[in-house]
Amino acid sequence: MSSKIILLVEDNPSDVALTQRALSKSRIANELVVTEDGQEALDYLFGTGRYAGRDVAESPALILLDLKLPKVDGLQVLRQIRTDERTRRLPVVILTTSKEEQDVAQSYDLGANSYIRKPVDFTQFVEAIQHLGLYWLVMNEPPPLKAR
Amino acid sequence: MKTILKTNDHSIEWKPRPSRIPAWSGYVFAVAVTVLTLLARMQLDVVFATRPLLVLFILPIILSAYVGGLGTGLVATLTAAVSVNYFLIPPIHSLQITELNDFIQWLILIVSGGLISVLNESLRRSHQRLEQVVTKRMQAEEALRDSEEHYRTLIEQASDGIFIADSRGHHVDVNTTGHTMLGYSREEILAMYLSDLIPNEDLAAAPPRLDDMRAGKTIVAERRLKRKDGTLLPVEVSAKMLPNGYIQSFVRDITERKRNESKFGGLLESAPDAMVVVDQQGRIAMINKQTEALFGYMREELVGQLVEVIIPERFRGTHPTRRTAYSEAPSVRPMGTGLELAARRKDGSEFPVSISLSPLETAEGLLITAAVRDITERKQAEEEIRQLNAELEQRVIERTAQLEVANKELEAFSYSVSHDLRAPLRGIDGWSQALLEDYHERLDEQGRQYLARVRSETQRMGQLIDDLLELSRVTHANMQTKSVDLSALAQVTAANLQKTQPQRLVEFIIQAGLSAKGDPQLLEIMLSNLLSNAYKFTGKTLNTRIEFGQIEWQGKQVFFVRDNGAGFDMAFASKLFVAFQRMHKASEFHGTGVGLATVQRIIHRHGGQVWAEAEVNQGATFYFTLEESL
Repeated sequence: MSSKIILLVEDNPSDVALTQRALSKSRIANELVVTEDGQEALDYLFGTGRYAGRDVAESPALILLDLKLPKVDGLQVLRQIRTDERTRRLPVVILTTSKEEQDVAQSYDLGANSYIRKPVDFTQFVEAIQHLGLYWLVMNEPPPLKAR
Repeated sequence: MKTILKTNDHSIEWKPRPSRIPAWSGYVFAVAVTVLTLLARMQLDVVFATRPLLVLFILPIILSAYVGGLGTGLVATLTAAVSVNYFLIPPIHSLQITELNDFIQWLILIVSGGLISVLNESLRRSHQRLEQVVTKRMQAEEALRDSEEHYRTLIEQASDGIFIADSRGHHVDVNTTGHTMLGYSREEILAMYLSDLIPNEDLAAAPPRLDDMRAGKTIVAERRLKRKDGTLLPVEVSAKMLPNGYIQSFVRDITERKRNESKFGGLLESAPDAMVVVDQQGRIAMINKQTEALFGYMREELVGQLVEVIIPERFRGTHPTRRTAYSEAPSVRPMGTGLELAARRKDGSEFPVSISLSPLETAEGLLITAAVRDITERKQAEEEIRQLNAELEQRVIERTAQLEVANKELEAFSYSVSHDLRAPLRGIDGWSQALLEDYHERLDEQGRQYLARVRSETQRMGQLIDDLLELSRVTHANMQTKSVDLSALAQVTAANLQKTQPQRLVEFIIQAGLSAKGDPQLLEIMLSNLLSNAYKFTGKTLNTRIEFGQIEWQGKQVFFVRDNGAGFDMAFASKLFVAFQRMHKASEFHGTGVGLATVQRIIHRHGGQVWAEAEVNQGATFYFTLEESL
């Protein structure tokens, strides 16, 4: 648990790489797990599919969730995270391109902890990631996880 | 007592008739006269000696019979016979007669007396009969005089002039109305012929229809009669031939009617509609030319006919009842008050009409004027409009469906624009930055500048996409209507703007207490766009002043945002609110040219107007109204 894994759910490799770059530039050294679609993210979280057998008690400290994803979209993933006892308290930050009102509203309705729109300007993006890491991984008191 | 009515020309008086003598006084008279004759005879014995001389007694008998008739004559005869027998025929003082001579004389007296009585009676009776005849005759004459008097009174009191002429046309009688209306005296008329009263040209044009009159017809015609003063009098003449061949004419002065007709007729003819004047019996009294044209009838064919002739057969049955009901409660019914009916031409064809009705009280009784308007074209037009409307409605439904599809597509498009177009931009910007950072040393100054341009263009495109999405959103967003505190919004926006460039010294003058009804989010976007513009275009101005307030302009409350910045050339004002149109070079002031288009859309969606006044380097003022300004 102390490893403080960050789960990045993002299908765009360029965005994945940029995020990784932004994290490293922000000196956030946490382990980054990347899943490229919603189904894979759920498999990772619940130890199913290609992540079968994974110790699901090893929960990520933070989930960075894109909304527009192949197969199962981000809102669906969020809904399942919030429905399941094991994952419902996990901090989920929506990290997406859209700031459509309906997306923002639905995300909060489904229990997102934060909503961040990725700026086009990379400098601003790095700033955002920096703040995000500082806040959620350092300042924020993580939720107590269920002992298994 | 019987009386008879005796009339003179000017007076009536009563006269008693002598009464008949009662019967008993006749008998007394007979006895008395006879006794007087006897006394006289006895005094004349000296003259006649003792001879009875009975002839003397014929006198009282004649007298009595004349006065009293048969009974009285017989009483006188009997009295004479008895008294001469007793006093004069020997033997005297006895009723015996001894000598044949005396007896014969006595008998002759009795027979003569009886005969005289009978003859007198007969005379009396025939006299009485004669008297009765005369009386009857007189009574008949009285009655005749009475009826003549009535007739004369009637004639004199008639409001029509009455002229009676003999078979040669010579007037034999005329009433006062008759000669007065022509200005002649009675005697003057009686000296004239019928033809003297009619103008020659009229006589030639319409000679009196004597043959028809002889056939027993009453001729009714309108004529003009010559007055004594030479003027012509319009009259209606009703003439007929009496059994004795005399011509009797009733003449009515129709000056007033003619005047009304000419007035009324002018009105009718000048009316744009077909006018049909109907009397209380439902007969057509007058029509105008338009009626002839519309219905295909000649005037003579319609006037006098029942109005039902111009109504389709299927309505003829019920029409008289409706017409009567209208006559009983007449009221003005203008066109377009539900009186859309069908009319029938002479050739039987039908056409739709609109009818207005107005009652007119005249000397001849109630007349109903119907204005009839052919509405075939209007009906067709209405039908066309109805069809067009139906088509239009159908088209609206189709278009609405298409629009809904288009809107959905647009929403999907906006969504993918906001997601998918921005992601690559972020990549371009990010990797350019990575290149600049990681390969800084291997790039020369020019290479680094190129990469900086790549980044700035990328960011500009990102901004453009954001602005376009906002423009699209303000156009399609659902609107709420609330009271919005514009002054507070302006204050917040001003504070935010000052934070972006804290080094700038900008004086914001914001009028307090301004509010409007509208969508809070849209109004915020609108106001912040205007204030951002003002902030942006005052970037090169010293002593920057930005105002938000309200003024009265042409009687309306108008909001304004004023700055003392770069302004613009009013020659290009028409392009001001068009998307992507910019007033300044990008090197002077950056921007996408979408902001004011967004402002205008928001204001239009609020039913308001926006316009600007500006001068280059003298600042700009943007005015706007919101329909529901408070």
